[in-house]
Amino acid sequence: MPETSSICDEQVYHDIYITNAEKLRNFLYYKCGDSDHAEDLMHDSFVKLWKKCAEVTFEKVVGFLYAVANNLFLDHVRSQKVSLKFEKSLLPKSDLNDPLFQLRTDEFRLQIETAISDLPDGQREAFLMNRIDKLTFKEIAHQLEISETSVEKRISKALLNLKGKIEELKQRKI
Amino acid sequence: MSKKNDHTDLLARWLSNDLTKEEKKHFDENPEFNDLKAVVEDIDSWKIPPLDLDAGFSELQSKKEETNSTAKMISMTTWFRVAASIALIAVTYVGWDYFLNNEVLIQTTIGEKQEVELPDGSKVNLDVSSSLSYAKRNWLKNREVEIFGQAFLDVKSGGSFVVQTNSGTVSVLGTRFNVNISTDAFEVRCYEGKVLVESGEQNVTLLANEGTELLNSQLNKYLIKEQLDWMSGFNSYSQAPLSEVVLDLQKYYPIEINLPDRFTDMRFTGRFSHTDEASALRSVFATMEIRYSVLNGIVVFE
Repeated sequence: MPETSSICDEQVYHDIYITNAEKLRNFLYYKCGDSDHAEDLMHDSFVKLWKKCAEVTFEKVVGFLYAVANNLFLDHVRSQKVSLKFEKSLLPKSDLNDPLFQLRTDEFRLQIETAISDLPDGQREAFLMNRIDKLTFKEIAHQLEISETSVEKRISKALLNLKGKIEELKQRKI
Repeated sequence: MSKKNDHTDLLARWLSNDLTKEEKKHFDENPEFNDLKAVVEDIDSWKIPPLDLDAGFSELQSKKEETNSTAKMISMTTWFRVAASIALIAVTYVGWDYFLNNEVLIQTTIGEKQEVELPDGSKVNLDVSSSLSYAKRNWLKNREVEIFGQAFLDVKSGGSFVVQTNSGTVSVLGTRFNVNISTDAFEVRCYEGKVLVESGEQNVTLLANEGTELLNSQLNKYLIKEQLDWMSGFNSYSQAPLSEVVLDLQKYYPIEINLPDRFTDMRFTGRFSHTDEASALRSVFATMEIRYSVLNGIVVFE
């Protein structure tokens, strides 16, 4: 049956929502840094999908959703500075003998959060989709409709940026 | 390839677990990456509050509704026509209640089937000896119908749609399904979409081609194998108690059948027509080698 799945079928549409809604919301969150706004834009993207349900094939759904979400984001928000916030686990008890002690402080984590927020859009999205949503490079490439090599490049650049930032922070003794 | 490029490549492949054994060894032993590794490990445990998918989807449904509302108004003329025919029937059955409460009641008699269109274009095919009622007021906001007997529903997509019965409720999101409710039967079959069936404390979600039946106060789920035959003009049975078949016969034809005790435990397999009384009786009783005759609308057994 999946090969004949029409998106105009309520059941199929609902399944697409269940599978993709959260990841798409997160993707928009990485872009705009406002979770309510991200959820609104995500729902607007799904409304668009419903209107075009007869034209979009099942295989193209994911790419379509991300492309629409991206356009809606560009329409609504003009490259504002984002400041992302994540829920973090509690830090283990500090131990001065730990060689990574410096990294295991709340201040340091906040600095890293800011560093991630400050990454260029493309790097930030790809990096977080990989680390937070646990998507493979292949899945990210499919969703953003770019090549796997581009994903690899974006993530590598994000990592190099982070590495530089960590060194800088350590030197500043934060 | 420059040294920097090698690094870049290495970093991304480290994240995707694509390093060769040798590279991994080199990477693990190189203290240069220790900090980055620790930070990424920490980031991996970060989370974003999960999305409430159920609440989100109903919000999406109402957003869809807003954009659709213009399209739905087109069927206004049909709605007026339907309203007129409903009014006549409703007056017969509920009199002033119709005007006071905006309640619509449609009842079919023995042998009479009806197709009813609801204000939003959803359709209800009402089987014989069944009833359907709903409140016209605020229909789009509160799509709720009460059904007794058997009906096939083709629900237009939109907000929630609830079928109330005396044995439980059925909630749907745009779908085609059949309900069969009587004092001793509660049966729902879903043909398209998804419905939620609730009875007392229990609930069952049905997808396309699934059905559920209330047996000994338990909702049992099953796969639909046979066609829904009352819609095509006949009833069919497989190993059904003859007493049940006789009850159904009396819903389609104005006859009185008093089945003698000695026949009640017999099982019937076959079908009867909705349009020809003599042939219907023959298909049931003659195939079971039960001798009978019809006198003044009463079936007499020999």
